[in-house]
Amino acid sequence: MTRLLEVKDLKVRFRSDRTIIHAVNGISYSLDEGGSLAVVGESGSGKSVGMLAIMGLIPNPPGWVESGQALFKGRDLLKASEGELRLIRGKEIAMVFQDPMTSLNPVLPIGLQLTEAIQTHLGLDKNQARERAIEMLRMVGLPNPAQRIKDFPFQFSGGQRQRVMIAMALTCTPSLLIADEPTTALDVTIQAQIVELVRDLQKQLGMAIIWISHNLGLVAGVVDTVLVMYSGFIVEQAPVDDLYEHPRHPYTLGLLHAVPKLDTENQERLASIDGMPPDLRKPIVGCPFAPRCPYRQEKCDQQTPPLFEVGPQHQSACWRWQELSKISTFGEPL
Amino acid sequence: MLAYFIRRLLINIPLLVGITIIVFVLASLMPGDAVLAMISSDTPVTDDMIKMRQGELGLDLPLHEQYLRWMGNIIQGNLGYSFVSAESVSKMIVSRIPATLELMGVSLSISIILGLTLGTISALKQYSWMDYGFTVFGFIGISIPDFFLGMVLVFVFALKLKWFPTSGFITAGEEFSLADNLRHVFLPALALALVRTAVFMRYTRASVLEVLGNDYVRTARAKGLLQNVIILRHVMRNALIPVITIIGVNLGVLFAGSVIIETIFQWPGIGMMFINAVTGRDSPVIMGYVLLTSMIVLASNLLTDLAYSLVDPRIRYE
Ligand SMILES: Nc1ncnc2c1ncn2[C@@H]1O[C@H](COP(=O)(O)OP(=O)(O)O)[C@@H](O)[C@H]1O
Ligand SMILES: [Mg+2]
Repeated sequence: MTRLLEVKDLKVRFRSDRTIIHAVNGISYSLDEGGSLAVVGESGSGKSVGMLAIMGLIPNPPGWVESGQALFKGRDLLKASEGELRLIRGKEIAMVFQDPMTSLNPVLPIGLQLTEAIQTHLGLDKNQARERAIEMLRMVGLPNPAQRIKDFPFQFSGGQRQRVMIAMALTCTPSLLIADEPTTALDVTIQAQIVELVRDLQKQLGMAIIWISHNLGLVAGVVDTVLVMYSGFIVEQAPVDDLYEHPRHPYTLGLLHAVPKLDTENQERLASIDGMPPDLRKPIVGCPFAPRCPYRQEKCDQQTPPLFEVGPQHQSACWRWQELSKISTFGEPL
Repeated sequence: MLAYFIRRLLINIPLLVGITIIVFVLASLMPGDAVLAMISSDTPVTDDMIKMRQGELGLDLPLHEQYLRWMGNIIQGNLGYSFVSAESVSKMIVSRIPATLELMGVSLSISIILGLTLGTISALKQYSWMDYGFTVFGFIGISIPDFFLGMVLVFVFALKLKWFPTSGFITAGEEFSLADNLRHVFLPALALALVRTAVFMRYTRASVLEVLGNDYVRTARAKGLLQNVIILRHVMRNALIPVITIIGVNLGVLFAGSVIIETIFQWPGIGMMFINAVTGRDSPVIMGYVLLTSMIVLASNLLTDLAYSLVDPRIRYE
């Protein structure tokens, strides 16, 4: 397997009212050609920002990449010029965004929104680009693509729009697709369809994929590796099965298996992790998860844990990762 | 699309009727006699003649029937006759409207082109020295009254530098030539354009800034499109939607604003006709002008709706 993407020590900052938001705090990971990775974590943990950074799409102002490398096919995207990035965006790396309702231009027919990327990157003429667009829409399962290509986004349902977005992302057969919570805004039944669709297309086209999700269950079946993010840090990274069976970070444990609690209505429900993520306006001292962690010790407040190698291709940023193997649910005493 | 436009047109009909009723009531309250206004001056005027004409014109009829007759006349293009020159008011309007439309058109083109361009640059280079420069220009533009600007322009560019003529439609005593006419229209058009440029610029800046933050602009970037395509196709098209309303509103304001500028520059348009009518208490002409102004405002509403539906498909398919 050849290495497609290698991100090293990526840090992203935003300025807001004289303070600096530490959105991404030195994340490193890699992805092979044709591989698949899920990035999970609560909302605000820096998943989207981390991806936008490698595409050079962090809005500046207010944001900027503080440091790091993002080697894509050996080239550092963080040092690439806008002109070089433009040739990579949409052609080599494509992205599907969270909200299909707002991610398509409301005043342009979807046909134009598909063909403009095709014409830009593939040098096809208008008719060929149109043919290609229809072919792509058919591939993502949109009925009547030849007619619907003239329609505007408001004439489609949410699920259909996300199919259009996926078709748009895949028109130039990119080697990497970044899907940023593509199903969050959709109905549950449609969610599964979209995940299925992207998985099939990935197999068909042989591209690598990064799934961003706050719902690990949804994407667990379609990825090799999972990367757990918390407040801009990677706290655990492992092959998907290993992560499920042997989580080595309390936060992952919390995401996967929280202790069932009895509700006021005497109904069993999964408890979410108590507390709030830390304030990103201050540099984090110690372990970022410590304030919410039932297993915290004095050391956790003072020293930020590094990513320990805890197994084959399995890393965890917890001082107590070894002891964690003794428990299977979050909150259970050590 | 056509259905939408026809619907907008129909919605305007009650408005139009309302306006004619108001104008009619005003007309009957006006000093001077509508009869006299309708009699052209080459008819010998005697008391008997007037009585006869009053009967002919139906001024002894109840008010609502008078209104219907009056409307009938208007629909046939008869707005009465000037007290002063005895010319037909509709003929006066028809002969003077091209000059006003030319002035409005040139001035509006200047302000739309400049306003949209400067506003967009301002937004794209937010907080740069250019942005601050344009903002200062905008405040100055909004706060200078156009008649004052007109006088300053005449003083500097016509009297001192002699680049442009001080007034008139063409050079007196010469054949009409477009170049000469455009030299004449430039200063008054500029005087009218500055305020509008500033207004359009401010709205465009705000609108572009808002659109830039939208998800679909990020999508366009993520596709690797050229910056120009992103700005012109994806940003401007959407940013234009609120700006169109402002341009539409300004059509009517511009028409009214041309009254003073036409007078300063001796521009032979509707505005000058109106000022002459006011000073001469020429009520039929004044009424004609009021009616025309209302029509212009309604027409600009319709134009705005049309422009809207061209830019925004959601309205077209409503
Ligand atoms: N445009 C922005 N301006 C200021 N702060 C931002 C901006 N975008 C993201 N952030 C900050 O970055 C953090 C991470 O955001 P994001 O990557 O969108 O989280 P998520 O994991 O939900 O995708 C957020 O907490 C937010 O404070
Ligand atoms: Mg996100």
